[in-house]
Amino acid sequence: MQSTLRNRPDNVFVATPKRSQHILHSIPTVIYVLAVTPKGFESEWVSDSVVRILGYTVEEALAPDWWVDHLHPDDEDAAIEKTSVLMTRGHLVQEYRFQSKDGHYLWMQDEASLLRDAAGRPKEIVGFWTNITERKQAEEQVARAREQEVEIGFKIQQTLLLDQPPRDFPGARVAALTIPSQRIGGDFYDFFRHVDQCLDVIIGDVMGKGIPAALLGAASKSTFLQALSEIISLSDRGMLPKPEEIVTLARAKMIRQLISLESFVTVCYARFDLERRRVELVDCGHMPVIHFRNSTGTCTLLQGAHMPLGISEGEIYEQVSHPFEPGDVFLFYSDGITEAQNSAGEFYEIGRLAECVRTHGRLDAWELIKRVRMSVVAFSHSETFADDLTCVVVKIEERELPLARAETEIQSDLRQLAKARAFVREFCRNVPGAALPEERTAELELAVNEALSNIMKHAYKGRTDQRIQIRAEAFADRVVLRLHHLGEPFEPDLAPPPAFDGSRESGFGLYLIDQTVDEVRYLRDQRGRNCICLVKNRKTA
Amino acid sequence: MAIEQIDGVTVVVLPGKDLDAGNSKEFKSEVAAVLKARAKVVFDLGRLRFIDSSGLGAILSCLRQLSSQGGELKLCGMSKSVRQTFELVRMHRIFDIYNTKDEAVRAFQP
Repeated sequence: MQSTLRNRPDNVFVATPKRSQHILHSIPTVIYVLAVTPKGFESEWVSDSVVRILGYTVEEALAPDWWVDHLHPDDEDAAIEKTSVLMTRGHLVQEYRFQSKDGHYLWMQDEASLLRDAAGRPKEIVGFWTNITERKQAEEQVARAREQEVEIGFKIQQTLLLDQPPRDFPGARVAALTIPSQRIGGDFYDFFRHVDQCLDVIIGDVMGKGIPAALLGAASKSTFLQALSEIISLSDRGMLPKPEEIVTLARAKMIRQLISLESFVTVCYARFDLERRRVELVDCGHMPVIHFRNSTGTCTLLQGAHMPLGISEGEIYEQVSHPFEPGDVFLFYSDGITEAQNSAGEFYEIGRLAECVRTHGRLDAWELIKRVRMSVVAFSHSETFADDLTCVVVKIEERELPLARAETEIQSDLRQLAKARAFVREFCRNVPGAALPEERTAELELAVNEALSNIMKHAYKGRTDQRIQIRAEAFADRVVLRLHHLGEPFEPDLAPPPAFDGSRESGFGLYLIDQTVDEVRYLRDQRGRNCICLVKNRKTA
Repeated sequence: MAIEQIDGVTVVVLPGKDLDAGNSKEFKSEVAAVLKARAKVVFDLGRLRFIDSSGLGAILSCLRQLSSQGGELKLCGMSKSVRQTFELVRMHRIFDIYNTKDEAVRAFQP
């Protein structure tokens, strides 16, 4: 030892007492020593740096209770309680807020070690106290940003990725479910309604998670719509482009971007042709579609052989066609469902999903989707999932053709109400089979009249140059009137109840509609118009 | 609008077959002039085949105008479907309703 000291080169650092003091003053850390006494800890020594870091003098910092008195009230109890760990484990690192001399709170990291005497009795505590306020602020910012991302992601999902399933598509009931995960994914779905009883369902999933995946999902979704409308506008009138053509064009529009983003999209494009009772599918690497057959009560999996979009530029898409019958169910879903895990790490898997569909396949579409949700939640013992759960059910219904149909158009002018009532009266008088009874016709006339005058006054805000289409359909058991308009949708729930004591001269309209028809629905039709649908049963229930 | 005076009672025959949102404003302003300074009024709804919520509102406003000037309004001659609409919004409890014009006029006699 002596010799090495003697032999050391001249430029080697030597910690003279003066130097030590200088170091202790300038380090970003406060060092302290506490004596362990029968009464507790007593401050014995604290480094000069306490002045620079916290603003207190050494004397102030050594005063009894100085530490406890300046802990943040919210952190005080936890910080004091944790010191007992020090006695049992001999080492403790903790973080808390501490008030500096100027009154501000700083985030401090406190790392303390217990030293024992030769007999093993606790002797003193040596600790390092570091100001970590900047790091904490950065962490908080990251946490806030993450929260914000979840929020933005959720908004993207609700507004851009997921469409409301059509509520009144004749011949099929459509229901959809999404359970968003903590981090948004790129699941999307969309529905295109066509004339001639065709409904397209697109469901897709973009690789990855977070806002990039969500944005790519939104872009993919709109690309399909674009592809569809471009082909329609270029083709002969009345020709509906095939799913394989739409997917081919959508792929062409996206492939370069997908490759440069190193991402891909799985998609299933399905067209339900209710006239021909067939579904045409182009499946690009998406999950197999579950087809429940009502006649046999069994499920089959429909899967195509194509790769996800973004993998290959040269693939030739071919749609496959499957027949269906009324009562059949098709279930589309994302891998969030089949990959939901239970605590043992097992996956939910297609088998369980198909079994759930088989068991509940005869329920209504919305009821079935509820059962799927319940089944996945019961399996995973959780309401929250690592990945988005997305699921769409299409249930084929016995198609009911109207026995009679009529259509007229009026202007949004209150003086045209009489014309509309005459149209309703005429239609009800001439429905095939027995005419609608006089009293029921009068009630339907009144309901149509009230709904139309609401459209003119509220949706069109009194403008008299707008149009309203009125469509009437008669079925064996009911007459349905649809009023289509382009004005603002109105919310019947917000209307105050009428005053029956004669104190107000208006406000009876919605009440009268409710009283005079068997069903009222406010919808958006396939052309984006708002629609009030009034149903009057032909016989009393 | 046909107006008749019978024993100090003003009988107003509602002119159209319909009283709806398309013509109720017009009716209200026309009839308001007639009701001015009258105390005993009967509306004869005999020609009316259809009334909607705006029409009901218009007749309700007549009732209130008359009440405010100390008068009274009675209705008569309602068709079945018009009566039904009154009943749907419980207006038959607010109005004095008679089958015929004579009954309505007589109801004003002491």
